[in-house]
Amino acid sequence: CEEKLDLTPYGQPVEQTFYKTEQDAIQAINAAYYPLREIGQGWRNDLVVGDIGTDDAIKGGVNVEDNGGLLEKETYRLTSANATLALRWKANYQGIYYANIVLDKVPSIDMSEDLKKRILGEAHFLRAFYHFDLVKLYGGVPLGDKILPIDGKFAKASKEEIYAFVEAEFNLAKENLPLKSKNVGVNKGRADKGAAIGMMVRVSAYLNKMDKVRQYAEELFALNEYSLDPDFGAIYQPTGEWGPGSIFEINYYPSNDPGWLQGQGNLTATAAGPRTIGGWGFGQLKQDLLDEFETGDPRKEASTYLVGGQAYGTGIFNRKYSYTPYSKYEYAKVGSIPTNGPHNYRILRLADVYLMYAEAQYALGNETVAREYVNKVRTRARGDQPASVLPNLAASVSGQDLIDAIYHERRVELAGEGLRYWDLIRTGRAEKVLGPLGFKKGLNEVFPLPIADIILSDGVLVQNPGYN
Amino acid sequence: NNHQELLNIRVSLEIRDQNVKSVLQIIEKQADVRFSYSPQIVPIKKIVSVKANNKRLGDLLDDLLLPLNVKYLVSGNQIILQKEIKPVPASQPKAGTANSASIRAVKGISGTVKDEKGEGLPGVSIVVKGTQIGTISNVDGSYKLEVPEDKHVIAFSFLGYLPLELDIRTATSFDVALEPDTQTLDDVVVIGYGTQKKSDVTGSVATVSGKDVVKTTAAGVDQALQGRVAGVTVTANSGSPGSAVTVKVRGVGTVGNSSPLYVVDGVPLSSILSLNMQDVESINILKDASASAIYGSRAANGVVLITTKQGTSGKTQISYSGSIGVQSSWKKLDVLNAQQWATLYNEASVNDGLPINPELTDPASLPSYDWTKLAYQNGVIQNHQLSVAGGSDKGKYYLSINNLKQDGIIKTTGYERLSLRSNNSYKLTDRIEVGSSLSYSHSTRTSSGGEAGIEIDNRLAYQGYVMDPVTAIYKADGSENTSPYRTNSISPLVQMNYNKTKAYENYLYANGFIKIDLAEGLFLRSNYAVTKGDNFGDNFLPAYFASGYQSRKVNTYSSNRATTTYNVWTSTLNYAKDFNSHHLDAMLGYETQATKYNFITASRNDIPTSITNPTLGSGNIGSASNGGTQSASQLISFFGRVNYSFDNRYYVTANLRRDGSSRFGPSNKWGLFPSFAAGWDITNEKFFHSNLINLLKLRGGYGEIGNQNFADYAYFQTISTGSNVTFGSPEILNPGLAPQSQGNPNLKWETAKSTNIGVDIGLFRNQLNVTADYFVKYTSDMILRLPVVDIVGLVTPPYQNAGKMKNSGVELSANYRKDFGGLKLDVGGNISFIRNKVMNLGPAGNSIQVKGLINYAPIGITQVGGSVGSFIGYRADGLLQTQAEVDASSQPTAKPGDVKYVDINKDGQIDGSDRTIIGSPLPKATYGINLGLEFKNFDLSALFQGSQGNQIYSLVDYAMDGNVTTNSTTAILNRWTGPGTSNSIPRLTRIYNGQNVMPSSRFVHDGSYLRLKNLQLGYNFKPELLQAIHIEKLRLYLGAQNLLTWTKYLGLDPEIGNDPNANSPLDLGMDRGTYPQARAFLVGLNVTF
Repeated sequence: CEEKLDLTPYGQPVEQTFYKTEQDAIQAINAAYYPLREIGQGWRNDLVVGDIGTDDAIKGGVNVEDNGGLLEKETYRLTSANATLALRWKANYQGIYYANIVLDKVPSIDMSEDLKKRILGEAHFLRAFYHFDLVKLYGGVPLGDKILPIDGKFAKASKEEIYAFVEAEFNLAKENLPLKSKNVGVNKGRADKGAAIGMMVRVSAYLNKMDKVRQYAEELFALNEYSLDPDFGAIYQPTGEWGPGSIFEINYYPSNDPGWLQGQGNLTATAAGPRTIGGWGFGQLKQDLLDEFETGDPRKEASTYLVGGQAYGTGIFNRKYSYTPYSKYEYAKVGSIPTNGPHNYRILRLADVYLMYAEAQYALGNETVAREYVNKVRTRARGDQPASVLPNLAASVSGQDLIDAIYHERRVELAGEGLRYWDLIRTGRAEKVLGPLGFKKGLNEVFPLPIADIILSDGVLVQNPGYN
Repeated sequence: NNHQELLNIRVSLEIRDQNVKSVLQIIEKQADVRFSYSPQIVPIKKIVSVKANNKRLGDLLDDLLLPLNVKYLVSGNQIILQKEIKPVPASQPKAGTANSASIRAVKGISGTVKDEKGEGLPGVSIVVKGTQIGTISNVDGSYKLEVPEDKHVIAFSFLGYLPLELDIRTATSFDVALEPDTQTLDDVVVIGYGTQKKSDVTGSVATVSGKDVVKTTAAGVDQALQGRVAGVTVTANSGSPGSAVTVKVRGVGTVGNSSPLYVVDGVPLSSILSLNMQDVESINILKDASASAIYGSRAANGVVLITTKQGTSGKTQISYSGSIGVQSSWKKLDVLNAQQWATLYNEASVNDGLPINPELTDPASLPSYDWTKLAYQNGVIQNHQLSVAGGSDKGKYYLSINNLKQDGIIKTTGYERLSLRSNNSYKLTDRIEVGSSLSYSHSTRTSSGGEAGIEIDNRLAYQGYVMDPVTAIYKADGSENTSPYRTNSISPLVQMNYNKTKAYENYLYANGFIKIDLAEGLFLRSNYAVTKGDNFGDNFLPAYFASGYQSRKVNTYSSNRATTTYNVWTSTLNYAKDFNSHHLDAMLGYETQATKYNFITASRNDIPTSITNPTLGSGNIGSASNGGTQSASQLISFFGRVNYSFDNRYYVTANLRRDGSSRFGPSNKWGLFPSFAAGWDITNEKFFHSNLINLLKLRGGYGEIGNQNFADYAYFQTISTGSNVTFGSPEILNPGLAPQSQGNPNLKWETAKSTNIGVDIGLFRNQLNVTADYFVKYTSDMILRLPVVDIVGLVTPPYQNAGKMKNSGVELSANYRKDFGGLKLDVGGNISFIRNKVMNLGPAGNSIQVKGLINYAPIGITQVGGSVGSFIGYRADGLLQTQAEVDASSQPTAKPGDVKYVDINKDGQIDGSDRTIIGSPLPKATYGINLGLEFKNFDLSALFQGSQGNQIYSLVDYAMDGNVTTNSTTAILNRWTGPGTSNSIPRLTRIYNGQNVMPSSRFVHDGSYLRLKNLQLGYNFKPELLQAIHIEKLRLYLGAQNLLTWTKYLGLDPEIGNDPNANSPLDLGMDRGTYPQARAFLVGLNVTF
């Protein structure tokens, strides 16, 4: 009768029989992308966790009380109990775990070496990506350079150690990954060489290592893979997904997967949409941002829209994450969950790299190149408007004026993309711009770590200073 | 005549070396007769042998009894045994007595002995106390006796009746009525895999009769146990009809599932929701390990043994019992009207420097809308039961059909169950008996999504109270409105109109047994049972739009099917033998249990509105979605028991069980669970003499039992599907597979080691019975999902063996019964004091935390040194009254009127390290008091039930009074508006509200309550009146449920159990808008034909 007690699970493989074939390897790396969905999702992406409480965006919603977690962000009173932050923390470490499984199991699988190389490259990319998100949010965090034991206690690695790991991983990814142009057909949307290099441009900018920004940006340009989409307004349309200037995106699709936030869809647009047309009104934009646009800049219209009659908020909404009639995206057309929207969450695009490159060239003393790259962005933005609209930066724009022009250009080009908060911090302007809104220097550059892990670590994991 | 017929029955038997009592019992069974005798008169312990081969009963009795100096006479179906006493003529000196020389005067007395019904009681032994002089009452109960003048007391005794002593100095004629000894120790109690005489029980076993449980209007037997038994805590999780209850035997025994095991007619089951309580004969609860260890791995949380009704030989009994009543809510909350609400909302805006909402500028002009009654109704409850019972010496049957229908006190909630039962047994031969038990039930539970999730906004019981009174109930176009002041505002009408669903269950229970007598005292019993529970739902949810948050863009139709099949095969070999004063009872058994679960779900959207009765196929195929899961588990067990007793004085029991479970890895599959117990009945000792105490029995036991109540396959590292990702052009879904948790091949049995010491006392001729028990139970290697830091990257923490927990307690129960000549009183009470302590929880610093709401810090904590599910938070200490107080406090950013928190670690700031234990949901004591009165044709029964010393964390308070966008109770009118205006309700604020609503003692309230659970007044019609209409018995009654509740708790109900949606057994005592218990009034009748 003993064998009656030997029952095996239904419906899912067990480790002893998995990680054996090429298909297993592909499915394992697919899973490592899954936590990205959390990071680009409407309740916790950088449109809310970053931009809310800056000079660009308010919390919004139905009233001041709506979503206490985001109110904490808006008013700079973040606590370790913040559920929104805890979800980002958890998603990043889940991604790291899944990437580590691939790096642990896939090397010994007997399979196509080319495919194996690509898969390991993706794992390195994702491991770097998740660590970068963590170090950006929290500063130093525990390092996930291998599968971590469940009974372990993990102290923080320093911010520098994490960044060094991120750079090493993106470089390993770069060595292993194919070009974007090779990721076609069924593989469109997977991490590629350009994405790894492009992310290093951003990482270097966040470290304020301008020589490296230049180095990686030029490496990216040398791939000859990217160009600015001639129509700025087309970028944040369904057809703009993975467009010529797109370096990395988190892919969403309104499939029929059941469950709140569990499907392949994205609720970002629903969360950000006006309440009068079925949205929830979070992350409404500020007049301050509208005022930043130069007169006639077509990007103002392409990035924002006004809807009156809102019970609460500015009535200024983010067109980059909008649906019909404010964009060609449809409003949750499939599935029973109204939030299951199709918008890809754009992580990095060429214009952003151009502007970081301009910043780097400015810092390294090459103002001409800096102006050239700002002007590339302005020229594209101008489109078929007369040259008097968004005129090119004149050669006379130099020194502080030039860097201010670059910052200005970033703010309008990248409005509503979740980058403002981090830009202000990395460029040392946060206290000046955000101080009046409640930002405290030396405190709010990073967020509090989730209280659950602090408690469980029994003193090993130390809370960021100043947070309870 | 009749008498001769009885004595002419032919019997065949051969009995060797058994005591007289056993021989008489065997004859009783064989010949279907009953012997009545007084044990003082018949030498019941004498060992005899008899042999009969198709012998006339009369001849057999002559052979057996004459040598014992016992004669017999037949009365009805009874055979009365009497000592052959030759009355000593009182006028003559008794031969051989010491004082034979003196001649005594003699007093002649006479009278009649009657039973409780007033009928003559034959065979009663009547003895002059202190002498050998005595007699036996005649067939009509009459007696005559001559008593020496110097003797004043005569004693009446008869088996099954309480003894009676009488002072005869006052008269010469005495008619007496003997009271039946309802506490007779020859009662049989059901224990694991068998029965035992109550007097032989050494463990802690409590009994509840079926008659008591049916007095409640609850749908489930488990709920009906509330307040009945010391040490058994029953809490309704929701007042919604048909919802589950939390049953704890001796406290929360583990951090995992701590529900007891139910055993219905020998078949172990994990749930009894579908069992019709009207079919229940009796319930025995095995509380300590020495009693329950025979169930080994499933018994760690106690065992509830349920016996259903069986037929009896004799006249067929047809019974109907029915009741109908109405239930309603017994409490309402006083909430603000529009004027008050708008005034306060504006006050908060002013306090925060926010503009006044234009539509609220003139509160006095606003019409008030009363949302509070929208969801409530008076619910009709009905219960009808028709049963037939009967049989002969060859077979017995019991058939019943029952319909229970309850409308909840909240619209759209209800429960209906139709159940059928057939219990049959047949004697195939003298040695072989077979039987079957079949029951089927179909139940429908209606709900509205109004109990889903853990957010108060979703709870229908509170939605009407939460909604602000300024918002109109309907929009101008007549559709349902929602509040513009609050994102997640949900109209109860929306919930009821668009989210109503039905869940069905078909439950089949089939059980067949065979019992073969192999030899004298030795029999084999084998039992095979199958249960099949089909839970399913086919629900259409319409599209609607109430607000951006409250809408369903497209209609949807979903079907789900879950089937749980459970097969159990049990075989036991039982042996019983008496020799001299020794009694031995032994049992060996083998059991296999297999469970299979299969679930499928599917849905489609966009059903054309022209379709009246949609099906899955009528939806848009492009929206089709489906899924499913399966699992299986297996247990294999060997077990044995020995009971030994000597001379009704010393009792010993030993159990051993070995269980193998599929849930553990190869090296840990098998567990061994031993237990033993001993008892000493001091009253049967020769040295013991007391008129006051007629029972004094000490019991003690120890046992080890297991627990494997956790998920299947936890020892495997499974790789989960579903971490999918979309890639490609065109976009397609790519399957992603990754572990969600980690397998634990080292997982082993959770073990509970428990010790029990108890005493049973009977006083005043068993009129007062007292039982007291002390127990200590240590649970170690608890199987739990030990929290793991998110840094590891798991979605769900793996199961691990960790920690140790202690439950200890005292249980007292007492019962007093007395017949005051016409007025019969039966009053009882039970109380238990249980303490829980977590002694270890794996690695240092570990705790298991439970969230109050999705976006609220954890408020339930289970950690070392505390009790399970304690509340954690800041300690509120009134309000900060002035800026000077703020400056002196540890809350520099606070404003006057904010809540003041205690700086526990005195570091000058209020942060996470100032959180402390602020309450416990576990009661210090739970108790029940039952009262029964019978007077003439009336009977009255009452059950009080209560809980003392537990706390409730009121998330309702947090949601309603902590936030100005909801409506609030009128208590908030006393908020702080300046120094000294309030020290408990903070100033109103919208932006900085978070400061004042942090988890704190502010929301912790005393949850003690005392409740008059049941009250029933019955009237029994006189049998004489009923004969003409061929009715044997007719009783009419009026009943009330939850008539009175005494509590300081201000919420809708103090009975807060384990939140059914929180999905954690450690989520205790949090009021998230719990569906309150209803008050019900009903009328009913019981008829027997």
